[in-house]
Amino acid sequence: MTWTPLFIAILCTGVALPAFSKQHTPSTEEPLDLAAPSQCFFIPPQGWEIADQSILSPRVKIAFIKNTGKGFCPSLNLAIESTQVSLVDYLKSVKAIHEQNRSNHWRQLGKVRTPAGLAQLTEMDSTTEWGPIRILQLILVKEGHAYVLTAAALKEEFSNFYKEIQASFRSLTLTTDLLAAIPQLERKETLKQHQQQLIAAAREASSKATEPINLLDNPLFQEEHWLPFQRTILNNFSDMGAFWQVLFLREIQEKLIASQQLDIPPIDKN
Amino acid sequence: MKTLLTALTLLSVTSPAFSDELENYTKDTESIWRTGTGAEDGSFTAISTSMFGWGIGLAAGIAILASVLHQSTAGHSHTHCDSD
Repeated sequence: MTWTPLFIAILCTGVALPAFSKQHTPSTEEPLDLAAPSQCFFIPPQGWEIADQSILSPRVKIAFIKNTGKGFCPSLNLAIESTQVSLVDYLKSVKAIHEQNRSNHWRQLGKVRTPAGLAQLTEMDSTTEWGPIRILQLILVKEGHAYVLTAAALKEEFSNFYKEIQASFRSLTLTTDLLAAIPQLERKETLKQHQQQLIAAAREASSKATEPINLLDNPLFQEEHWLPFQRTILNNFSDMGAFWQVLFLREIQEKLIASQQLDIPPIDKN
Repeated sequence: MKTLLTALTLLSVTSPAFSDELENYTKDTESIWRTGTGAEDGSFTAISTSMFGWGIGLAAGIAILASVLHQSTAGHSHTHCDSD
């Protein structure tokens, strides 16, 4: 009888251990969940350039830089992280991470109202070989994701860029429909028509081809349809910001590819 | 023998539940441990971009970034040592 509990314990361990070990695979092997259900964008300041993509950290979607011709240029980026915690708990983690470096001074500032929701502004002062720097972060936790807008500049120069950065922070938008983010109804309708014409042209080109073709690789389609459409977005929608333009063009390309692969009627009737 | 059978029956019923609970616990633990990495990545990228980054004109940059083909074939962004 005295062996029974031991036997049961061994059985339990034998059953539970495989499940336990399976769940304790290194987290670094998991694919990073960078995709958010809604599209998130902001309007960068006028005259700022898109930063080199090759130096972005894993969760950073896009970065902009103001070329001042000096050593430490102001920059702005958006990172998106999948999370299940509340804003309060997220901020505790951020504080702990940033205060690991004792030369960092981190503090919470006020709340900022954005089209995406109420976000928390934080500030961190640090030092680099270029001298003291200031980092502002606007953090929004919504729908299982943390959206983090980060701006950095030399501390002594920060006030020169504060208004521009603040305007960008206030433009943080979450949407499931990029077209709907255009404020003017007429422009929205015009672009919708352009989009439908492009997709119709893609369908026609696909149907005429004797073998499957990738329209985005096709010089004729590029010249006659894609590049004019891209120019329209670049020239007529610069007020929506470079990030919105990137997301919109990418979305249309994905629709074109999907419509070719799935052979479904791609024109949006809505 | 009766005790053993009872234990085995109970085990077969409760084991999946236990496994699920353990799975949830693991997910929660990892979630807490990894929380804040978005902000960390943002700070790291802001500093590295400001120090070493270079910009590309908006028109060219938008065209490159918007390209789905480019995104699917180009090398992905670098990972800094503290990223995970």
